[in-house]
Amino acid sequence: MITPIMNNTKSSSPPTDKKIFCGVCESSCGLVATIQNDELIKLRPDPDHPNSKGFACSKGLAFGAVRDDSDRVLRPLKRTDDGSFVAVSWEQALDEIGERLNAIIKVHGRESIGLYQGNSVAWNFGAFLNLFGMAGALKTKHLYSAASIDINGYWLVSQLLYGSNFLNPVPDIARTDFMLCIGANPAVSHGSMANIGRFRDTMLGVTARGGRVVVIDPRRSETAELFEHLPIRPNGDAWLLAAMLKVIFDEGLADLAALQRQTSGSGIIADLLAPVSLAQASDAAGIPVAEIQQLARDFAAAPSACAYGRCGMSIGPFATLSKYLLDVLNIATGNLDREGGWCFARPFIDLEALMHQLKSTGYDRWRTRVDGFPEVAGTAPVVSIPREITTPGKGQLRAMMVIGANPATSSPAAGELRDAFKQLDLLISQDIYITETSRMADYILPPTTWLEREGFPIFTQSHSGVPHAQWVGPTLKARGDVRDDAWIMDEISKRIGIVPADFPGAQLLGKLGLRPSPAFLMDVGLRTGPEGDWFGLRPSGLSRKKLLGNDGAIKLADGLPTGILKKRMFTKDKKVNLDHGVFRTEMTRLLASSFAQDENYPLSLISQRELRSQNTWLHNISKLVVADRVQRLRIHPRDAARYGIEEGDPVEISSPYGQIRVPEARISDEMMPGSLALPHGWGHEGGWQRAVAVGGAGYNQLTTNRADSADLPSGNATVNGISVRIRSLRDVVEMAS
Amino acid sequence: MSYVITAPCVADYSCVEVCPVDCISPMPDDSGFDAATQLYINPVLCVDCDACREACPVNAIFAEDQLPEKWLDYIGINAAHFQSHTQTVAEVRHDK
Amino acid sequence: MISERPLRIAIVGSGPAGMYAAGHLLEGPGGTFINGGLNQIVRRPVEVDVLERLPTPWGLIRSGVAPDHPDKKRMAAIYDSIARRQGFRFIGNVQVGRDVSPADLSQWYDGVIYAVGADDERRLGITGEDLRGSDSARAFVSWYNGHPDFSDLQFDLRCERAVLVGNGNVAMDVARILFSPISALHNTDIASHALDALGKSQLKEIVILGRRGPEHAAFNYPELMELGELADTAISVEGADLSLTPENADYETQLKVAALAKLCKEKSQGSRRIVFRFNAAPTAIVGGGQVAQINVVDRRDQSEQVLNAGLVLAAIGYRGLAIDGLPFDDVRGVIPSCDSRIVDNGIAIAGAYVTGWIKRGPKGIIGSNKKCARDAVTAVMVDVDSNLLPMEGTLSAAQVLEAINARVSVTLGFSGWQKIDRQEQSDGRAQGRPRLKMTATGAMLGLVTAG
Repeated sequence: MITPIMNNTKSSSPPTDKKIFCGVCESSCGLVATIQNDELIKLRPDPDHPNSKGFACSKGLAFGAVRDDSDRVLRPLKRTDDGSFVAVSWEQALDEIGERLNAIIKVHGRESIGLYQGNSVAWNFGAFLNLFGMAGALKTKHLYSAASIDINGYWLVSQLLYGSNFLNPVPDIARTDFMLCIGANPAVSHGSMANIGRFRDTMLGVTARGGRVVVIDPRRSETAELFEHLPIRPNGDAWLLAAMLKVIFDEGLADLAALQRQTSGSGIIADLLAPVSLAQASDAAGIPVAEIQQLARDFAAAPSACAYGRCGMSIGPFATLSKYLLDVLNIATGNLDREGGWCFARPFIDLEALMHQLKSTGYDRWRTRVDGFPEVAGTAPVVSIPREITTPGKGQLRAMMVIGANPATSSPAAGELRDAFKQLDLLISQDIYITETSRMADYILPPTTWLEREGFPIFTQSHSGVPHAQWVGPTLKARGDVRDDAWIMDEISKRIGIVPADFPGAQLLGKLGLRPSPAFLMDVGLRTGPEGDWFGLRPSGLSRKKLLGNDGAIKLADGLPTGILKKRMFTKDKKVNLDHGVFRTEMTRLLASSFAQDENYPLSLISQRELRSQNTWLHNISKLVVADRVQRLRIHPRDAARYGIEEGDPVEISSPYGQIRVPEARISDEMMPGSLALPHGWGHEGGWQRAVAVGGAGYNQLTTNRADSADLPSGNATVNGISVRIRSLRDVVEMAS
Repeated sequence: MSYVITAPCVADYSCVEVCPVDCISPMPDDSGFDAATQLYINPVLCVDCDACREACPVNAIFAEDQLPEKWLDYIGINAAHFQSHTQTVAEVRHDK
Repeated sequence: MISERPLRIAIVGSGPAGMYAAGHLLEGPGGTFINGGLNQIVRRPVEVDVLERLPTPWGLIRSGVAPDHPDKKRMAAIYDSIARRQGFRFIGNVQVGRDVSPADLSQWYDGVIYAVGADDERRLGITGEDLRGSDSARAFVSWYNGHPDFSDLQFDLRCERAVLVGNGNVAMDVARILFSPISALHNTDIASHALDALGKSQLKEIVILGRRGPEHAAFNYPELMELGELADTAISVEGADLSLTPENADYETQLKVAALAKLCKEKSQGSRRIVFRFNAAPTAIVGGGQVAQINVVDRRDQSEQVLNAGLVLAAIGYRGLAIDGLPFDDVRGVIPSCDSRIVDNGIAIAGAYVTGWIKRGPKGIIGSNKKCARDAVTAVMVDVDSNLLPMEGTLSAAQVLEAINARVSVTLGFSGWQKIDRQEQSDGRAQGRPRLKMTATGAMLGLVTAG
């Protein structure tokens, strides 16, 4: 049964428990690590964590296996001429990288150096700070983030409406009467841009209280199974939201007083909605007009309501407009900043304010060199990378540092990205595995995992439904010869003569030999922030030291604060600024867009998150790939019959941009007819053997990075609602065998 | 809450393979496995992660709050299996 | 180099034990659950041939699991998934012991795992057992599930009472199917001939005999509870006092007995009746050609009673069947083995293994075979590593198929079965049923060979 804790240990050191948090997904669940002799005996959910309240999932609880994975890279690796890797010392790797970067900088300038951050950086404050710091110090415009694959529109809307990329309202599900959930599947994903502990249970609380939850999704997802489900055509979200708003304003259901009180520029709403036709929206969304009307009326009539939307609506061609309309729906129904509505959280380190002070937030302060995309939060979109590499001229991208990311699989048009990466003068990957991306790198610099480094949930603390504070030291010693990402970046920075920091005077301090650590900087931010101890002036306040000495998270409040809008706004007038030309342009673009399906590519493909997967991560862990783990294409029975697909058939999917072969079809009426769902992040190569053995195909071989296919205001990739055709490979396979 | 194994269980133990907290019993190498008529989830140890429900090939596993009415008795049946297994109860690491 | 070619293993039988064995041999990237954790047990490429005597795979999933248990039949999807793995081959319509011998297989393959299940049953050993209207529950189950070997059987249900001897889950299944509304059965994949016969049923009472008291009843709780779901059906108990169940009985026993008592209380009325008769043993089946009555003795006081009945089904256990060329333990009805290795007079036969009911006897449920198969595969791998497998001169995949086809006029591969599968499903759809089973081997082979 359960392995006794004292099993076969001769040492006298008893097992100890340490309360930490999970760094796998945006749930950031509290965990209890049982440690003995620097070995992780087990991970369990932390019952006392104010937000996750004893919940954790199989991904986080299996993370010890990532730390201890035999496929993990434990020493710096250098690629040799024949493509294989040899282990080298940190000194050698870093010195050589420094030399090569200096050579590139000498010829092409600092602006030719690129940085790419993956989602894992969201739980790695050192890497987060040094990444933005390096980009700032290099004055490079080649700062890329995986966020531009799935969420750039959020940053943009937040900047324009609330004055900061990082100030994002979250749904107050714990107190709402009506939750509209668009394109999100929290029962599986556990939430994004909403750090709601026990997300599923919190949603079930809505209906248990007599409220309603309506899930909008082309697929009857695991979340939709639990609540009311309204199927929508992929990328129909902007249409649905526009139509709902149209109904609300036409029928006088809007909270005009709230608009007057909380916003400026609300006149734009009437302008935007004037040309919207319910019939057209209904066609585009695949939802009958009457149902849209009823949904709008019910949402507006609810004592409190929140509309929450995530991937399904933020990775399409109108992601920014969708997010804007989502916020407008919440605001126009009086739900902004009120209980049960659309609220601002209470981070224990006010990252929003810090980034604002550092002038690190913004939109369209500059445009990208080749595609002319507006910058978003100082980053350029991932879709542009191949063209930035292959297009000559000043500012051409010549070297790239990829931190905790696997863009060779996760980026749109992944094949093109791989080809472009081959043309770089230098590719550096900070990764714990030899992945599709890192195997192309000149150097693989292995970092610590979140079990092996100091951390606090820098990103998700800003979206927490139950405000809390937690800061933990390393749980385990670093394995092998791995180092913190932040250290690696700082060492590279040293060798090219910069300090990876963007605050005024940082470079000067660097010349004096002072390099304030990310932990120091964050501690200053904490101590001088709203929850801080003001260096002793407020003894009850928080500091890094105090939190590190505290076992577990400290609860700051029972729920989301309300009535704090003016305090939180970074806009000049302290109101929500609704009127921006970009939204007018986008509405015009939406209304002119065609939503008819191309007859050569009659089906619409969406990506799917699965319970034991996290994008491209965690696919090398036995517990997460055991038990019939096969990449399966979900297809409605009607479409299966029409296109000759039988259950279990291998299927070829073709888009205008590529073709893949998916191992199996799964026929299920969970799909809306006409749409297909495929788990993304599969089709691995490299040194993570189990991940490779699971097989599957890369979703992003079907997607495009064309600039005109992206969400134009944000440059976010369009990776949802891909037009495809399919055929069964049953007979092909049979003939081959 | 907890997850609950119900009548269709055939003891295929895919759930055991994916369970992150080893709360499903009997495991294949436990003495009671060969004679087991179904497997059971220890409600004290279950962390509601949903992995077993997804992995179950015969749809025998439900979150307690989604349990079909005709199988409500399986809450008690699952719990009862562990009442003599004090060593697992001693493993309690979260409140219920 | 021997180590460079794939290990070639034959599995005889495509039921749960055989398919689980294939799954473990063609181990997934997550590894195998063993001793409390996931470990890799197969460290070399393997090719698996699953030999099946019928054209259809999955053994008792198809021909044993009751048609109104669609959840359990979903196990087929797992086996389907295994069948799609690299290295898997299905060869249907080959009977080992008839078409090919164990000696052939041991020459052709590096190792052979026998997973042939229990193709026979225990007999009552009383007079009248062979009368028309008396049969084994196994035959009845195989018949309503459309097993080709049993499709020609005739069960006349135009009688008032059926008696089931034995009160295990098979008896529960049979009782439930006998009393299920035809409309409900129509929505299952029950064989059409059974649906017709059940439509003509005039049964009013089913008596279920158990030799011992309720605390020893062999049925499981879920199967008992399903009887409680039958409409217009009273449930009663004779020959035992349910309130006298020993308190030291284990939880499962107490649960079952309490549930039975509750059912008797709640289901006291109905135009049909299921009677659990405990402490009762049949002594003779009587009739002139056709069963007319069964004599039952109350084992507490040895009193005799005569029950009029038109149908007697013995549900007292399955039993393994010997295979020509392999040792057989006639007492237990299994192939004798030690740690899954077939033994003949105490000596292990190199490269011959056994799993499932033919190894353990007819005990356990579907998943019990997963562990059993895992252990057999572990034994194979241990022997490979110890160079104990006679791997010299074995045949390639193509050579094996050639050798089999030289002996059997028609075999089919997995795609052949898929053709049958699709046909059955499409025939079912046409009648508003999930599947219309083909029940004749000839028709199935005809479909497969018809281009």
